[in-house]
Amino acid sequence: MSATRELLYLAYRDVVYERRLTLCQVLALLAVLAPLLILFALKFGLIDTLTTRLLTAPANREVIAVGSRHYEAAWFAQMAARPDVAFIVPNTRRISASLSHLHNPASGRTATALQMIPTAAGDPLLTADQPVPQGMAEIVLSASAARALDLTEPGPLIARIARTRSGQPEFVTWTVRVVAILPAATLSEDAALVPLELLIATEDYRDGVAVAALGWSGTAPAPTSRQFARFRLYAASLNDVARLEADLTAEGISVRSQLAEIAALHALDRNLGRVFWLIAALGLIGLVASLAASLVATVERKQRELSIIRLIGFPTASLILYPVAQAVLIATAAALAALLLYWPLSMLLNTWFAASLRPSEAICRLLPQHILLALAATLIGAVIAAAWAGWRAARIEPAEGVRNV
Amino acid sequence: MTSAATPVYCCRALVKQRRSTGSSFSLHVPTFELHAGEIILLRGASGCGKSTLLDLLALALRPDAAECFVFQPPTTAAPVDLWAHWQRGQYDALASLRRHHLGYILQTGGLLPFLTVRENIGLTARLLGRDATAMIGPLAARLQITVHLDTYPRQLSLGERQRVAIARALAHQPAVILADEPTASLDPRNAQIIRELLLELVRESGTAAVIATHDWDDEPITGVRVLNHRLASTARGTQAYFWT
Repeated sequence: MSATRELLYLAYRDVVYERRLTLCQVLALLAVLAPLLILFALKFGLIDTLTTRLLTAPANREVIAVGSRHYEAAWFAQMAARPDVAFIVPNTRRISASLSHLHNPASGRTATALQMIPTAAGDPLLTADQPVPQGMAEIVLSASAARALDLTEPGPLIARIARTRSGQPEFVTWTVRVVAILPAATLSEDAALVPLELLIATEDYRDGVAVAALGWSGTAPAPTSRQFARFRLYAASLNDVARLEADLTAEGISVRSQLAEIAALHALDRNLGRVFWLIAALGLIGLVASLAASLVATVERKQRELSIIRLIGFPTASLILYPVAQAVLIATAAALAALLLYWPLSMLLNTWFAASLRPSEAICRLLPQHILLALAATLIGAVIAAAWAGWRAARIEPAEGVRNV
Repeated sequence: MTSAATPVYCCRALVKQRRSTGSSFSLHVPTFELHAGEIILLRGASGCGKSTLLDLLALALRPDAAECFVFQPPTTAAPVDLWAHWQRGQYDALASLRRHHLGYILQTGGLLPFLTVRENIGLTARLLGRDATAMIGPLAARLQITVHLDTYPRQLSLGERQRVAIARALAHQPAVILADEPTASLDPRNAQIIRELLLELVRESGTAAVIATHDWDDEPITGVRVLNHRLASTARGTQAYFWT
């Protein structure tokens, strides 16, 4: 035990004494480790952020019906019960699902033919902290619609829809309140998320049916149960989209989805991962080779000292430890130096790209477990690299010390 | 514990051959005994085989043949069969014997350049798990290297390095000191001083010693036995003989 402890101390003292050589070895490793760390940080920061954005964007999980049919409440209940369905809400005919005008009295700006999209609790387009619009007077605006209306914060607007009845143009107006504005990345078009009952009301109004809740005149509503022409449907995950699309097609419902794009995203994610791991593997092989060559050269150069160490009675096994301990010391110093370089560089990169990033996103980021993994990989690589040198050290004959020194 | 009559080393028909391109050298030791506290001098010109014999006694070189090659550690009753250790490849057992019972003084010190003088002296004792602090001071004072204790070997003259080497060889109180040309690199005045110091300290410590040298004069030294030596050139190469 004291031999091992003493040998580790000798290895340490040797590394410190040969500080210039040690510095060169540390720099050689640093030249491999620092770019690898940045590369990993970019992989986990930039690439993962982009792919996560793409892979988790609700639009990629949406299954859209092509054309109109008649869907009943029971069909919606059945679909909502499926575990692969995250969200489903009925939708009215496309022709009646728009506001003729939406006016902002505060700015004097008006948006025309603004699309209405039905929403409900659990809508993937709404973030957890955004309220779900309720009743006939609450809506959520897309960012572009809010921009068109010069609306920067929730407030009251005047909505108007028009119809032609018996050849006569008619319209109604009512006050709506914007309860939230969607982030620009969530929905790119000019649109308003509205409760289903408001969509039904506007469809009824355009069909000439009276809407008692808003005091809109028209014919009495039909006593039959309501059917819907369309739906908004989101799969629980990207992997569920294909099955949902297949099941709906089997039911005779013509749908479209981002399936091809999702496959391309998956392939991109997979291939980028492979590229990064390939580069990392090459880097690590280079690191191990560089360190191994350097350590073997050191053992050759230190042959006399090592033979003395053997001569005075250190056991063979501890001789193997000599270059291994030095490799671990050098690799640890290089890893710490690489981390010291990484931090300011990552801050710089994140500052440069701050405008393109959402809160909690970073273009260059390492998690603590990544740092531990990098340290462990470096140390394992160092031990592997030192094995050859250790084998050489253990084969040095003690007689060489007697003769040559 | 061993009795005073039991030799520390006992060799019979010990043979080591060395071959290189176009030449052959073999060392024969028909009989050799080293007793506790005894000082033996291997004297002869370069190439006469004294370093080879010293390597064999240092357990640093594998013999090619031996009828008997044993070592008697001072702390155990039974002698250790060195030849059997070599044959069985028990290198760590040999390392343990070197660590516990042998001290080495090499031609230019054989100090580790990355340790201070203090650390070099204490190395052999620390290797055995002993606290070397107490013995370093008196040894250094005796060898007049106290002022150099915290310097590195490269800052010392050759004579000073040899003093440090002597201190290191004695620090763990070994049974045998093996010195290979300890004064060969020194000027005559320093060589004389180091020789006297070495013999004095070896005698005081009661340690046995084998000293290989080509530069010590032929005059007898009190209490030092010179090993018989013969060198013969034959058709099979050079043959060297050392015997008690």
